[in-house]
Amino acid sequence: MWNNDDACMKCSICITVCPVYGQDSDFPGPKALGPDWFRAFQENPATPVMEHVDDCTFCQLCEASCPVHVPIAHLIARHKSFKKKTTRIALRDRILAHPQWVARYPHLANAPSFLVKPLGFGSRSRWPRPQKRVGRLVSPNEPAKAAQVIGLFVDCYSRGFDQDVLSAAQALLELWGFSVRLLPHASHCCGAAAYAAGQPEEGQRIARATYEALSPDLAGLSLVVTLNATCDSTLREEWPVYWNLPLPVPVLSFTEFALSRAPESFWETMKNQAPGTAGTAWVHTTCRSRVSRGDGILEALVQKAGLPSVEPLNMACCGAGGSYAFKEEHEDTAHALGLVALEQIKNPKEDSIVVDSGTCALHLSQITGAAAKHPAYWLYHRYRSLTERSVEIGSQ
Amino acid sequence: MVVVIGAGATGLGVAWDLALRGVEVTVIDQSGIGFGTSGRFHGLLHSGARYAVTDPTAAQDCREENARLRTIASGAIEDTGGIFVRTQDDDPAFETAWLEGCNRAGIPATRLDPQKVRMRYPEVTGRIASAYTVPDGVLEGFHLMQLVAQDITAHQGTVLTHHHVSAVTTVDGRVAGVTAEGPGGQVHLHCDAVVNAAGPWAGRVAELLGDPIPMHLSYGLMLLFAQRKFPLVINRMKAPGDGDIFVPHQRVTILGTTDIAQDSPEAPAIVQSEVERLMTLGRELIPSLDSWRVLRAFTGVRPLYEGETHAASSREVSRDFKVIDHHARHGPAGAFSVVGGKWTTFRLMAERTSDMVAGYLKVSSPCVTAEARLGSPPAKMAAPESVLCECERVCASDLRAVKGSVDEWRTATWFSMGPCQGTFCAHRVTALRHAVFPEEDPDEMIRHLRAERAKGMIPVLWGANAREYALQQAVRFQTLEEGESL
Amino acid sequence: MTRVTVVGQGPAALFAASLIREAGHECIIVSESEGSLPLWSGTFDFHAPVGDVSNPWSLLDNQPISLSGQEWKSLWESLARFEREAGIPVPDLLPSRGLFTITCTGREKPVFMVPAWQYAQEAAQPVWFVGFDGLADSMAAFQCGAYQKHTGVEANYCEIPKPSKWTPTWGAVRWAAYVDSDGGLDWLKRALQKVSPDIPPGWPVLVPQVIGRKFPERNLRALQMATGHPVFEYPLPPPSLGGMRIRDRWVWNLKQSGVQFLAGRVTLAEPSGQISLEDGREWRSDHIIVASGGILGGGLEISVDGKVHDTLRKEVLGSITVRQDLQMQEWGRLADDGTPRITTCGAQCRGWNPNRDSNGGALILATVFQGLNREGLVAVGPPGAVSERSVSHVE
Repeated sequence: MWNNDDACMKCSICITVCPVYGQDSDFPGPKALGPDWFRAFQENPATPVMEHVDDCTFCQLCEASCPVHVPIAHLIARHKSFKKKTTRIALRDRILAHPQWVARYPHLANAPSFLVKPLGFGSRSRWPRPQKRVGRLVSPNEPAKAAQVIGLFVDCYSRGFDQDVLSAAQALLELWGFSVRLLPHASHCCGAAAYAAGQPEEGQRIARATYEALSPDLAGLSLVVTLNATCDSTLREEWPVYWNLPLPVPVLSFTEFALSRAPESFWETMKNQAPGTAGTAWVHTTCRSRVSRGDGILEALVQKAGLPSVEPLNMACCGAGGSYAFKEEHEDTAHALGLVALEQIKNPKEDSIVVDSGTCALHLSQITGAAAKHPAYWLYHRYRSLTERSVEIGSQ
Repeated sequence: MVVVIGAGATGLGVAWDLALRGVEVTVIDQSGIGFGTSGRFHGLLHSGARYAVTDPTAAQDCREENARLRTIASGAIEDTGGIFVRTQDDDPAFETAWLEGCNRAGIPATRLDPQKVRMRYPEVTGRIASAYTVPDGVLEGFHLMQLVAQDITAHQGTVLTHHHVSAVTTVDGRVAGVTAEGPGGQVHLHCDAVVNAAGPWAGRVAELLGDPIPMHLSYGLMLLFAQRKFPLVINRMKAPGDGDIFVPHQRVTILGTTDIAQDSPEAPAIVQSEVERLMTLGRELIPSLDSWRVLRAFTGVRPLYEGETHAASSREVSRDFKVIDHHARHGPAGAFSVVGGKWTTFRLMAERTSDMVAGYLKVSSPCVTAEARLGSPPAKMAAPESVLCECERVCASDLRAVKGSVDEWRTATWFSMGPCQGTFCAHRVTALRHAVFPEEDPDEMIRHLRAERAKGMIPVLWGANAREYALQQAVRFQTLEEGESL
Repeated sequence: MTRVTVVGQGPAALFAASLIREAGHECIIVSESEGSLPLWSGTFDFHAPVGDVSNPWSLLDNQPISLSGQEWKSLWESLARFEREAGIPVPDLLPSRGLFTITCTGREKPVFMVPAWQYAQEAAQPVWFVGFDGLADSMAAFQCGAYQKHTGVEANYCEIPKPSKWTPTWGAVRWAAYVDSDGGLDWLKRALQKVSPDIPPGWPVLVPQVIGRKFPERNLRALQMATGHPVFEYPLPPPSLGGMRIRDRWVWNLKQSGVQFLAGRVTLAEPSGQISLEDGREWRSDHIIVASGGILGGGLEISVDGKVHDTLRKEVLGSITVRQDLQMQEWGRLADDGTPRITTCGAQCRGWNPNRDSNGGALILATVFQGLNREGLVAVGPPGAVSERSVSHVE
């Protein structure tokens, strides 16, 4: 299952990139929780679990930084799996490890806090509200001809809460001439939530169910497009490498798909007109996106789309960590990590945040007060406002 | 009063045995406890199965002593169990002979389903023909020697390290004393008998006794890997040979070994081609061996006794031991040598030797080591202080609790012996050492610690270990400015 | 626009990227792990054990790549400019003499380009060492003794006790985060104020390099005010805050200037300019600069049989010598070796041995410059022949 699990050189570079280590003065850090713990665990399976192992956000920045490719974050996830939890926390974590349940009944998130607080949910992070779908886009130039069929992976969060983002992405893909198939049909999770919460086996079980649900729908697809960076890297890394679930179809993030496949005419429409607002578009490449693909890709998209004054946000992990910020024991760390964004965004009323994860968007907009949304949402609205304007101009 | 020369397992064992009989003893060693062969082995507590075919006496001794040591020194022994695996490339006839040998020696060998072995230990070759469990164990040599030394002291015995025996004096053909050179100058010890338990140096000590003995020295090469890869000992079922055993020793795995004749009692420098050959042999059992993180290579010298016959190779020299009364040959009365044997049978060797010494001294009390209990090594302190060696979690208080040289600090705590091989702790420990022993030269000490690590790392510079070494070099010479690099 | 791909993320890669951006080209950095900067204190060293160390420019001839004095000067000035642009406090003027910093073991280590937070001196002077109880690499008593022994210069030290929040998990990075906090800085100010009456006037106070990750300048200023003495850091073994700060600031500066930092393992770099990553991404570049750091960085791998593999070009470069020290500098390529559109710089280049010669900074500048110059990407200083020579170190 593991490669290079014994290769640690003790160089501590992982510690220099860990967002939690600098924030939480009791957190032992990736080296101690990952390779050091694993070496002791190999000697003695009864090695005590380290107290603060759960405080890891599973951002995987440690793993990406390692010069000898120790699977640090995955070792920590294994370490987390031995942590004993109280019944109420176990129940809470079981719910959070199965976001597909929540996505089926998103209005559960409206439960008043006196009901969920006893379960160990924090009170600082607000719950998301389900958003309404947006309409289709019509090209002012030529009607879209459906040629290639593209799968759009509907992650739990988008299904339950971000129907606006999902429908915007779908509308853009159709506008660009692709026929879109939403997958999977019913609510399923890629397994990332369970893995991050230290339940790798449960994650694998969830992922297998999703894999089976996806498989019949993959026929004839040339590509699967993802919206959420965490799901994206889970499908591309954990699925084939850790869970033996290789997808027969390539997976690509919406951002990279847009950059490489959206037609020139679209970019001309986007670029050749003045930006709609005066504010800055702050780009936050989520940790998982940075780990699996790198920094600067989202900026390239936003720039190409002609959004005003693009600035990258200087932060590693925003603290959302999927469900991390919702847990009472983590909300302070999550909040402190997010404050880094607040220090940079000075005009939250005018500025906006572009971020490729729904939970990160929720977290960042709560902390900074700026509207934070997926790039598909921003692209959709910019295109729509530009084309509607041009239609209006044309009809005058 | 008896002087035992050599503070390895055998010498300590003899002194312990005599001390428990009420005899006054001093163990004397040219360096520290276990710095010879006893500290340079793969850590196997033999079930005896390895010698079931070729060396029935050694097999039976191992079986009995294995069982005894588990009760005597439970704190220094891990009951891992072991398996013997015959691959499809190994001789099936050997399996038959092996089963018979185990049966004869009383070694319980239980057949396993090869499929299940493969399922349970997927890194073991898919070419398993058959597999058996045996009661192998793992022996933490330094801990056991520490426990024995403590018990010697508790019984009014003395352990005198860093003293080199330069002469054995006799009066009227009987041993009367021993002269040794130590850091404080020359020491004279009066004694009634002397026991030569100097391992590979036994031949040299025997010369001091005026009665040379024929030793057959050979060395074994072992490779140390960073992690414990299996919970039990994995043996290859074939005639004792090279690269046929993987021992899970605490947090590491040790691949043993080779067998090459040599003249010097000192552990020799490592030959690259031998390392590669050992890897090739190891790969036959563990095909993915190259992906394991290697830490270092080390050698140990086997002090085998050739007796009066000449074996064609050292693999054919018995692992059995021999107690020699030099008076029965050409030496003085009261001089004895114990040679050959195995770590596993150290207590038995000591018993036989002590019986002979006790007879000479007319001491009637019997051996009681088989019933003794040695307790457990001291637990690491969980003090709220900063960790100096992160790999093995060693703090200043752990080191201060150990008596002896910096090498004894090392062997007692394993500092600098983990995955970073001292890269991040050698200078910290040097500073602590300097605070405790200001008379020691810290520049010399750090050079010594670094050289000790480099010696084992350089022969295995591949994969992550090569990177570790490059990092270590850069930390030494670019961050700490330790002086001229190589 | 010319597109250049730089493989690696260490100091050589960042320096190359800055030069490439300054020349107006597009630059993509691709790296499979973090660069090596957090391993070292972030000084750029330039020294040779022979010659007149009081004048670094007299050491030019001892470097394996021969550059004119003007070229050297211009390269050091470029480095200083890039660091300053990134907010790293390096001096405006290049040092006119060789400098030394003091290690945590009390040794003098040659350095050249040193950020203002770190101590550097031209000749040994009396100093006051401060050790932090609970920080394993700060060993002030030992450090002070060794410094006095090796330099013959007067020195003294003190140890300050752990703060109340301390736990055994505190490494350098945690200490730095603590000192960045208001409570942490207060704690340190108070602790130093207590000992400052003992410190002789004019002696610099040297503290371990953990005085903040984000705000070292502010923190050191506050300590200076509190004690009335100049306060500097001495470097520690990895993880090093000095290198981390430089990384954090320089990488951020490059990101803001539009440099992409792609994450991925390069599996193939072809003379055609084609780059392939393990995850399937591919693109074409006009130039490829390989700055992946040799054996330590992962550009080279050694197999059990001792063969040294170039992982990007899928070639065996040779074998390590039997039972010899790891002569990693033997295995590099010269910058213009082989293909015209791939050039190597940084630690892989032959003939440099920073472990021996304390010339790691010069290595980076010279090899990056040589590589980019041969690719026609930059021209620094007056045009002149750049020549290589065989190494002629005095052993």
